[in-house]
Amino acid sequence: MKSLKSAVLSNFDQPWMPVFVLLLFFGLFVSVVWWVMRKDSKTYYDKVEQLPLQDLEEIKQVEGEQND
Amino acid sequence: MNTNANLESFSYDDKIVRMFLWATLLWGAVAMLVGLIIASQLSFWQANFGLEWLTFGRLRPLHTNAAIFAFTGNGIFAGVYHSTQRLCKTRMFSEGLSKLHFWGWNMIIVAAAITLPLGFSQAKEYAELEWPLDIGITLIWVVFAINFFMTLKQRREKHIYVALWFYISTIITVAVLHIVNSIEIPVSLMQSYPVYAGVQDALVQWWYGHNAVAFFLTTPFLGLMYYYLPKMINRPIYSYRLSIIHFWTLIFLYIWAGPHHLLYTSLPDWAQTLGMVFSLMLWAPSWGGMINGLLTMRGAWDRVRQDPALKFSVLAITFYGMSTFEGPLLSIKSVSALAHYTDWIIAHVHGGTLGWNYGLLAAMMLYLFPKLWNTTLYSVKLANAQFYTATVGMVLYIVALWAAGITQGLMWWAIDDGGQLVYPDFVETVMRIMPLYHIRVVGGTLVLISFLMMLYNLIKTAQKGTIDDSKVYQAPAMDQNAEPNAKMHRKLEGMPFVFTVWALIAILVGSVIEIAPSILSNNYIVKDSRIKPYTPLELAGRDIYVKEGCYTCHSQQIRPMADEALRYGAPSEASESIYDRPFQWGSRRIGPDLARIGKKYPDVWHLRHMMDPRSVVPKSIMPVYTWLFTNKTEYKVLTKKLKVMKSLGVPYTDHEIQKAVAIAKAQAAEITRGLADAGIDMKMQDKQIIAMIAYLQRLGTDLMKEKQE
Ligand code: HEC
Repeated sequence: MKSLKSAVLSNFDQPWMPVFVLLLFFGLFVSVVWWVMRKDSKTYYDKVEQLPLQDLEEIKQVEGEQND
Repeated sequence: MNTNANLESFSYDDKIVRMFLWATLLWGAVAMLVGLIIASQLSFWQANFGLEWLTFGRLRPLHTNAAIFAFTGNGIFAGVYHSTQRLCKTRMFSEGLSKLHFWGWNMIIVAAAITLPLGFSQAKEYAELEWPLDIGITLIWVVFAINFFMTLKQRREKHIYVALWFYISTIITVAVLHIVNSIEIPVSLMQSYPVYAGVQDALVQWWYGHNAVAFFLTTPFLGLMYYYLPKMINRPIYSYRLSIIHFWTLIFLYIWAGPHHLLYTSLPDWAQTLGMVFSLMLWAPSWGGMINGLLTMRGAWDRVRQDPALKFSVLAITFYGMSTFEGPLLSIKSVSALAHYTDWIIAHVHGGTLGWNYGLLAAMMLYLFPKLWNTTLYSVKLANAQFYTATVGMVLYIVALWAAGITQGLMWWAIDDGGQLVYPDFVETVMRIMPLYHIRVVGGTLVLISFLMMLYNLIKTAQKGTIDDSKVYQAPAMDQNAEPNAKMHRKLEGMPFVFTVWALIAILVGSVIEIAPSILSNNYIVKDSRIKPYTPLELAGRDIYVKEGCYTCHSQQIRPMADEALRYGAPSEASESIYDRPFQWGSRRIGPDLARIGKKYPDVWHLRHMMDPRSVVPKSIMPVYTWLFTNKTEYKVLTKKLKVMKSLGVPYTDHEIQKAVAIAKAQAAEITRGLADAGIDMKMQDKQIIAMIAYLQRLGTDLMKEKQE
């Protein structure tokens, strides 16, 4: 007797699998694009993208003479 | 807005960064040197000097492990430790953990550099290290993870820059990959059998192997690119939005692509198709990333001419684009049919590891050394010379192997009008590409020289500079409630732990759907009652095959194609490898496939061939294996080996287990007696060569038996 689990799993051998997964991921892709393109995210991203550029110098300037 | 009361003072731990940088330089040179040695061995088989620990099969794993985990590993850690502290405006969480990470990781590498040449290997590509080292890797990775995540937790910058996302996904995915692929049962201190067998082992291994490329050689490097590229040219990344799309699509897709290493094998078709489809889709995000990188340079191209670090960045990003175009191409089944098992794949991986990884690390180091030593680069001229030497070397290397791969692939394929192989002699196809192997050695030498130039340049830079770890910085403490009205998605992007869970889900979905059926389903493999477990002596021989790394030159998987049927016999079936722990399908045919080598030649042929391949095949480039004639087969552990196998489900009877040693010795005596005519003394019966012959002569013979039932 095949267990239920293996009966279900043997169904993975189906041609619709790749198609299903393709659609699933296309859907996810569209969601991610929609997510980042939302209007109100612009100010946020404008801020975040500057993060790598504001290191040492800028912080130094904040605390002035504490640096040597 | 911030009152002074909120300001906190701190300093960066740059000592650990410098340590990782030196380790990167050291191991990079070692990895390339070992690579050059094994490349020379394909040009001149004598280049191993007849020493067992210098043979191709043992050094090739050392080369790949050193390149991936030692060279790029230390490079990643250097970049991660440097950039994470800056992006989080904090010191690393724990100096102790940082040190433990550094020394632990590098001790494991030293152990690898000793054990791999000695032949302690699991024979799974890039996962060759034996179980005690596997445990060590796991522990050190956990140390790294704790140190990294705690640093994130104590950050003074609310927003999490995209580079950190790439680091997070790297840390969690590598942990999952390493642990799942390394589940094995020890037989002795330095040997183990994987819990997976045959097709299952192949699937898990290449899920791991491909994602080692994805999450060790790609995602952390993209993180580095997204941090260091803006820094080097002092402007933000071209499109931050694109980098987010790049991130999510990449980690969602990559995890599925592993089976493209197993096209046309006995892996079920649906899994192969999945691997191919996802690999094709990967092309889009990868190119998105490349374009994002290149467009960041817009308007700054004039600086590329002056700044060698930028030159290397451009080189790296270009090679990233090339490799991620080539990868999906190679995943198309009909292209794979030609390219698989050939040097085209070796050309492809070197485009990635040399062009992309060495390129980006060179850029990072040329930028970081002057920074961390408070000086300027010792010689820009030398760095430019390094750049051109490296580029010429890489191009020679890659083009030579493209040509070699396609040439050899076409020669294997060629069938004449009469339906016969045009090149029935395998070694003929090897001879044809020898000139290209020589060019590869030249290319590789140039790349190594370029690396040594950088090494010298950076040592000199460090010597003329000074270290100043006393710098103190200040930043306001992070206010948890700074943005009470932030939208949901902004919160997600700022919450590393929630984010980590999402990324984990992303990689687990693909992994589970692809791998679970092979482990849980009874129907995954069509059983064949003719397939029987190996005899104890054959198992001993198989373990020697594993130890010697024969899989680095020989496949054991015949694809369903006319030329392969003519050359090697019927296509391999999934049922044939159900007792193979580890599976030995291989990935490269420097020599012919061995899946059906059993009974093709008499025992004495193998005896002579292993002693001196050129005595039977004059043009052979296979190494000599003289030590198999003096080293003794380990009989005593056979009982234990069979017991472990039985615990994993291999149907050995209790009688076989108890009498394992006697059964093995009897079979060895029989084989040795049969070799008497060749002047073989009965004293040879406990030498490894006899066990090896027993194993080779068994391969593929089960299906010659009548079908029962
Ligand atoms: C450097 C690559 C390399 C390594 C490592 C290597 N071989 Fe080979 N092998 C070859 C080449 C090339 C040939 C084809 C020429 C010949 O027959 O010698 C070959 C041929 C063979 C053949 C004959 C196959 C046939 O169908 O004629 C056998 C058997 C074999 N090798 C066994 C082994 C075993 C066992 C090991 C590990 C102990 C090993 N080889 C390691 C390159 C290699």
